[in-house]
Amino acid sequence: MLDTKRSAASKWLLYTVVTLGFVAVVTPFVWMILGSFKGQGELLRVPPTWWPE
Amino acid sequence: MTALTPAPSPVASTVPPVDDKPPAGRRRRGRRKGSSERQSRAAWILALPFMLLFSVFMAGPVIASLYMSFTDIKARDLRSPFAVGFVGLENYIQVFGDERFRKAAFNTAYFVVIGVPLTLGIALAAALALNKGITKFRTLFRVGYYTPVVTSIVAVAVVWRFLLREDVGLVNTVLGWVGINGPDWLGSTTWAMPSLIVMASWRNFGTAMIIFLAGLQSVPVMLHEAAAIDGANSWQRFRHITVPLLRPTILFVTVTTGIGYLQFFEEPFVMTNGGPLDSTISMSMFTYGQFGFGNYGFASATSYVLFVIIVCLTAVQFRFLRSNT
Repeated sequence: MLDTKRSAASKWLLYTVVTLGFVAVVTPFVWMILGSFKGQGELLRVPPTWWPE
Repeated sequence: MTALTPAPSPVASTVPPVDDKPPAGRRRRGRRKGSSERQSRAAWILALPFMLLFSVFMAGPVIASLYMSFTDIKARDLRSPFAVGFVGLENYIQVFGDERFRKAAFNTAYFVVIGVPLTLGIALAAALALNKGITKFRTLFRVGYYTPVVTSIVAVAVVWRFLLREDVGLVNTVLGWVGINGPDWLGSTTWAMPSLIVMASWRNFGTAMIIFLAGLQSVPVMLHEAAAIDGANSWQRFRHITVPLLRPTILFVTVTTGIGYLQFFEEPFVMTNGGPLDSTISMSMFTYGQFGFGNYGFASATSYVLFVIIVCLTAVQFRFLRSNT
């Protein structure tokens, strides 16, 4: 198969890029779900919190 | 269904078989006329509910709004909708003379010209990576990349409004880590539109990615193997094997994404309300606003302008992307 010819370095690069993309795509979604457990005051707080208190 | 399979007619059953061939053919021929009449009557009866609903709730409003676009109907005319004046093409002339509509048309073009290639580029890259290169956690990545599509557009638009806040938004916080002082994304006439485009791409590329993945799975592996043996590198294999075989998929995704982006509405409606200084108002939003002001005739004309643009763009895409065979 063709995949076996791919070097380990390029495999690592690919996984890094795909993981970074995954984080970028999922972060707003995670923030939205965490936000659903916060009160109005905490959601609008400056600076914003990650984990609901 | 029972109406479509009538009982054997008495005429056919009285005809005796003249040879040892089974009488099926003769019998069918004998009752063809009555049967097809009955079948078409049954078909019309079965299609009637749909036809009624379609003509009352789909075709009716479409034709009515086309007529409205040639009249000066306003909200106050709703008591006597047939007493409005016929003004010919005046609404259309007014549409093209409207400064704000031209701004909306420019914004829509901006959104489509940048947004569609960006969305499809991200989608194709993700599909290529997830198709072959990634073997571990493949399902996790696929689900992750698809999550924005299954969420409500209004909910994610509100979330993005938080993420794009000037001082404390997540986007500017992350940019601050690498020493970039991010602008007030949604409050800047320069950056509001790019922000919406990125947000729309984030939300919509999952759909295109799934369709590209399906298209990529239908590309035969042996073609790639044969090309690799002949010495083609991975870019050449992508360019001369994958892309030509993906052509119908690319056409489909380009057309559907293009139509969706030409009608973009929720993103500016929720995130910027068309501002700042109309820099993110879209054609759909302009039409919506005109309906809100009660200018029904004018608003119908703008929506028909958008309709014609969509038809033309789709025709052009079909012309350029249809297969050469």
